[in-house]
Amino acid sequence: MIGCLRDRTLVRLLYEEGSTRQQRHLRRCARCSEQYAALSRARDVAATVLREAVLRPVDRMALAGRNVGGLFQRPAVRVIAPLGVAAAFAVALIVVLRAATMPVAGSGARPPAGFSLDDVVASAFTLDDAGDWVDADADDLRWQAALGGQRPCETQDGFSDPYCN
Amino acid sequence: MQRMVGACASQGADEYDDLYRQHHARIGRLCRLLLRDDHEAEDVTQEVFVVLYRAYLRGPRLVRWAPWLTRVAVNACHGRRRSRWWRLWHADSGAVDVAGVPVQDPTPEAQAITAEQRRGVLAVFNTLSLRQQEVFLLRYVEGYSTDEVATMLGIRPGSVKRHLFRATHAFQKALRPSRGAQ
Repeated sequence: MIGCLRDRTLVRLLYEEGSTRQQRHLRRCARCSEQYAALSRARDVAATVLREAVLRPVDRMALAGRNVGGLFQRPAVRVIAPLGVAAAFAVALIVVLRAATMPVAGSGARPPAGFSLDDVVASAFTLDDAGDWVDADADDLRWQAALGGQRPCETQDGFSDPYCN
Repeated sequence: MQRMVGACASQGADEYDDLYRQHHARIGRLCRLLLRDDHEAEDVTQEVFVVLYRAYLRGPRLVRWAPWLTRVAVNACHGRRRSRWWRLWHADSGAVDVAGVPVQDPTPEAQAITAEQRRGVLAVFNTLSLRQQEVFLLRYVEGYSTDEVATMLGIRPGSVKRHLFRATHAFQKALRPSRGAQ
């Protein structure tokens, strides 16, 4: 039939809001009546299902898993995540390589293997220096004796040393 | 005087209990359908009745409690779904599996609906926008008029009709018999 009603008009008639002319057309036109009945049935079925349905409780763990999975489906995350992983890997690689090639602190001043306390003493107190130093303090026999590998028989406090030479 | 206040308080408590009994299941169902999460729906339903209790404590008012409660519930669900936390954890909840939805004490009309139709309706309902869901539920499941729905949601009646048209059209498409079945 020419001039059949549009879906929007049929829905308006479903709310009992159409004009009398449209209602009259609906009563006469088989095609519009059929379409109207289908709309009305869909509305009633949907309302009945929603009125009587009790939704299944949400499995929160499954939902959380799905959301985390869904996060990586987002285009922005799909681009940023591999770049982030690559950047983190590059930084880690640089840190490891620098740690491997960097000299240990103080390693340049490390003494050679045969270096001993005697060498330190020998370099700190050369014989000439020792002579000057002893001359400067000539009264102190103990120092002279010590430098000569001897022990004085009389100590500074007046007692005699039984092991003196 | 104290006895009179006590009597009034007791009467108020009785009325509150009546309202709770009358509307708790309805508000709970509405919240469940809007939030699609039983725990959250229970939470929001409790919040709604706490708001009712506070409103009741302020004294008797000339209020039609059913639409008032519905409005509070819809706003609470709206607020919950808009929260950052909700968006983070329920971003994908539109895809919640609704197959095999149990039906409590089905009416003869409900018994006539096939499992396939039921699945189709719930699948379409999941794809509707939140506003379309609210409008359809309030208009056809709760049975409010178009103007009442518009007032409850704070939108124009024209917008209500537009949302209803889209929702009804989507349901009709889903429930249209397949060519093979004809």
